[in-house]
Amino acid sequence: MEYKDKATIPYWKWIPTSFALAGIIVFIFATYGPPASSSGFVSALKGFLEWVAPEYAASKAHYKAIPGPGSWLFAFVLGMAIGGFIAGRTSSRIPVRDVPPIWRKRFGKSRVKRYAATFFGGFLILFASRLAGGCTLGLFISGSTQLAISGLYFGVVIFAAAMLTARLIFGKIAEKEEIQ
Amino acid sequence: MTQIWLGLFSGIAFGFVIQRIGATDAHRMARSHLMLDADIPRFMVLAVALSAVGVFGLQAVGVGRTMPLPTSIVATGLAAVIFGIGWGLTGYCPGTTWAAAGEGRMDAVFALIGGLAGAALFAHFHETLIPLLYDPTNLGQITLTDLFGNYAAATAVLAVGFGFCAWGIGKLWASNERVVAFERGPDPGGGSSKSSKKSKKSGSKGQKASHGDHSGHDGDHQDHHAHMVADFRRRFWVSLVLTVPILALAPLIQKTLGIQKTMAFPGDSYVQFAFATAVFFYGGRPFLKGLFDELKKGEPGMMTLIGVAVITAYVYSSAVVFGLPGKVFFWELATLIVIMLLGHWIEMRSVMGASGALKELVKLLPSEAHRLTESGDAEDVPVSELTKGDKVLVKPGEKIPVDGEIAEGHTSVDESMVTGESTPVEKSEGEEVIGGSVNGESTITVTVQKTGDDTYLSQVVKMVEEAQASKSKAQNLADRAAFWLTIIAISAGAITLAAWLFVGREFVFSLERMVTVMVITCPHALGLAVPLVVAVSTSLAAGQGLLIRNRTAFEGARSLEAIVFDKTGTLTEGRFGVDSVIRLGDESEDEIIRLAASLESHSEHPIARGIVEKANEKEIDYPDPKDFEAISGKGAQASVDGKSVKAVSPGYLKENDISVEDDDIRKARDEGKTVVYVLVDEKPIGAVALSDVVRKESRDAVSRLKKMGVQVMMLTGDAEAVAKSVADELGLDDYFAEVLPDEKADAIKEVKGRGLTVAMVGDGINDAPALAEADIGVAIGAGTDVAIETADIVLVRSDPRDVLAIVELSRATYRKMVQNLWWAAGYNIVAIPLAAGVLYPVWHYLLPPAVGAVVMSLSTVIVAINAKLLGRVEDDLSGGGSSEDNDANSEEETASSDEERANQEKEAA
Repeated sequence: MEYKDKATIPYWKWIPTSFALAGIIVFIFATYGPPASSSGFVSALKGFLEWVAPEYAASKAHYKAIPGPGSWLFAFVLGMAIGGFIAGRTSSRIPVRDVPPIWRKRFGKSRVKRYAATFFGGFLILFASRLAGGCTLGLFISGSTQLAISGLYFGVVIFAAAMLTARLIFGKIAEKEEIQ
Repeated sequence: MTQIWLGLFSGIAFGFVIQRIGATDAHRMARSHLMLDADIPRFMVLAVALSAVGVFGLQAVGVGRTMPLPTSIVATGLAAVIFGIGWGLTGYCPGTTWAAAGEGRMDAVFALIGGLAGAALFAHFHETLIPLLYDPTNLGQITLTDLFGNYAAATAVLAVGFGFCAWGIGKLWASNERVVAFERGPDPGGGSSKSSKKSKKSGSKGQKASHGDHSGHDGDHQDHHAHMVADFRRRFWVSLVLTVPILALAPLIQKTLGIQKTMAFPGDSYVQFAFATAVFFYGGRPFLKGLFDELKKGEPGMMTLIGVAVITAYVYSSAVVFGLPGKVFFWELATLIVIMLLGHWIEMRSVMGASGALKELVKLLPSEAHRLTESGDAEDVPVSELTKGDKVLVKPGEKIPVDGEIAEGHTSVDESMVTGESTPVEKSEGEEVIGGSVNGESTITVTVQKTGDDTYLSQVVKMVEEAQASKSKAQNLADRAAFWLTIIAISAGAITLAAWLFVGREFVFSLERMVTVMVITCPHALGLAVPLVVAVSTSLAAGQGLLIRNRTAFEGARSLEAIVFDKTGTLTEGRFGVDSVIRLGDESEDEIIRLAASLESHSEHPIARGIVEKANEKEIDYPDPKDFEAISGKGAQASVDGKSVKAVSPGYLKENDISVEDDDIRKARDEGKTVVYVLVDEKPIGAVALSDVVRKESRDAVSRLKKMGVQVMMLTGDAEAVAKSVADELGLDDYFAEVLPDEKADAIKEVKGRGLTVAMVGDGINDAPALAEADIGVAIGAGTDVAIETADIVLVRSDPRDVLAIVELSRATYRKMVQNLWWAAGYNIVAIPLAAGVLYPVWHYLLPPAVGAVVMSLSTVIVAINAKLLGRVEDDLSGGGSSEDNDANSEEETASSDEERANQEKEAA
């Protein structure tokens, strides 16, 4: 990341951006309901399974509970990917890299290692999201917006656990070297 | 179909925005988790706060829907931990995975696939896991509305809470980052908004490390101090955030703002209790710890006072929350802690700031120097490789790398960073230059004399760091005030309780009165009264070129009764000047000077320099002498214009039986002046009388000090006659002449023996014992290291008027402190009897808490403004350093109850 000071930080400023995101969330609440993204995984999975193993898909309660690809949920996560794509293509300044620098400093250049880790991490995250019935967006953001205690509770614990994990994994590197 | 389009549109907008904030960048997410980048967590939290308000609006107009979140407390907790581990490891969460994959990040694509696998596994075992998801607590259904009983109030609490949370994250993350930065090495590449500050800091450290020798200054003490400052700052900000809901829920505040109906809800006292508990244990920790430390040492002071007040308030209020009838003191408790934390933070930071500024100076030293090799070529080497005796080349406009002596060349040097004097100083061969000052118009060669820790700047830094360790008397003053207030608090509390019980009131009422009294006795403003003054006076002093090594001594300067100056180099310039030229023959005065200057132009003796200077001053052209020769210990001789010219001492005349009888010469010698005879062909044609030149500033300094009621004395090794003439010239109260170096301390003892508080001002190594003996030792100028080591205060400039500035600033500082302590405690002194209910039996008057709160805030504001007003004596101080025309101003501004000041005004008028 080749930025040096505030003036050239490629990211948007946090306050206006949070207004923008809040606007989108309120729009979603008005037009659909509480947004979720981990359910989108199930939605995609359901579509896939209905195609390759319709009987299995029909036998599982969890797939019954979540709408398939022809739904708002799937459109939403697909839209997120498209949004990410558009944003990535329209900004040359936010770097896109397969292996984050902080990871490279800690575990080396190996892509395989990183991919394996993100696969495993993704696995954990989604399993946990389903267990909790939501993720950062579906439970923390949507839940807290509806003043749900479970959303606040989930939010506090995921931040704490993530901070602890990051500290255990990257803490020493961050202390020794300049990580930006 | 519409739903799909809406979903797609929402998704695109969502994905776009989270990419732009950087949430799809796993690297940035990891930095957020490491508390190195606050933006994403702040962004999330604020977005939730705003969304909650938006959704509240939607609900109000009946649009949109909410959805229960069916899950159990166990499953959510477990899931959150697993989720967090995955999040910390990858830096992705489900939403960002989609956007990041769309962006083209391959690791996100793998996270997505892994996620699908995880979801599939869960779906497969869903039935098995259902018992785990069963929720007897019905957690998923409980909202803040259920807790607060009112949707609007709950939304407000969440929005305000999250809003402050977002702000607090910025504070916490940033300060943590700085702490980390403190421990880190050089920063080669700069950083983000926050890390740009860090890069400056660590960059400087990196540069210092390249100095090698300077890095030693980052001692444990400094680090410890920095951590203390960071700790107080963190506690202050966190407590402040936690205090907001306490204030919002305080009935008194609600009533005042007229928001009682909207804000109050059943059970709000429990919420207040929760926040107050956090403030009490987290914010109050330093005070609770301080209370025990002080009690252990048997020295109850500030910490005891605060500790007693907060413990009383907390314990009593908690008891009230859980059933004891009475009122709670939560907001008083919280604001007291917050203001006390602020005071401690300011005080520590101001002390840190002084050395921070000096550290900046060390940073200014260049890291490389052009060293001259034996062949005369210049090679660039790191400053750390220079050794004593090396010769370095300093080009025009460059910074002088180390302390040294000019070996070749003549230039003007800008020493403003060292002395504060903005005019460049002319320097030529043989004169000393200080590392860090800026070379003027021409190239010079400097012989290195000091490197590393021995350099002037390093010494100054070290010195100030030591001063930080010395406990300030200012603190003692506040501690003394606090000690009495503690006694008052406890006894007034006890008396109140006893009195009410005695007159037969119920215990609960008496207890409430007692607690009110004890809480009220600890003035909020007391926490700021002294720290703010210290902060202002420290920065004022530094700005005036007064380096305070020992604050206790500095604060003692207000009661100085006598100041003893070392003569040479302090009151006088330490160089000879021609006072008079006495004719003994037909030659004119100018001719005598011309011949003498010609001869002496080849001599380095101070007397010779004085004569040559006189010739230059009078613009007398003198020829170059031939066959110059020094007559050891007695003078010099040379051939000028073909004549044999000699400049000699009386001893030479005696030896050669040359007798001179002249009244003027006798008079000059009686006055202690040095007389040089000028002989042409062994015949005396005239004599030159010289004396140590009295500084112009000395006269001003002495007269003004005397006006302030301070006796001014002089100490010198010179003859009685010399001392007397200088003393008379300056109008000194007393002088000590012919004092041997080892007797100087005895002279100070004698002055002390007269019952006077005495300061010694000196610059030489031989002054050091006297500086140590005096109540206050002041080293003047860029004096010798030993003198500086021993002194309590160092004057950056060689100006005796700065001594005056010390006394004035010290008096002004003390006055402000006392004033502030009165302002701080005054309200409480009045309020205690009212709070105790003295007027109750007669008029049924108890101090309304609202009135108490307003007056208390007012006294805090007054204390802050009053401390700032100390800045106004700056004009007065600069008067000490530059001109007399500020007199009128200064007297107007700082005049107060001090008798001396009153006298001064009378005299001035």
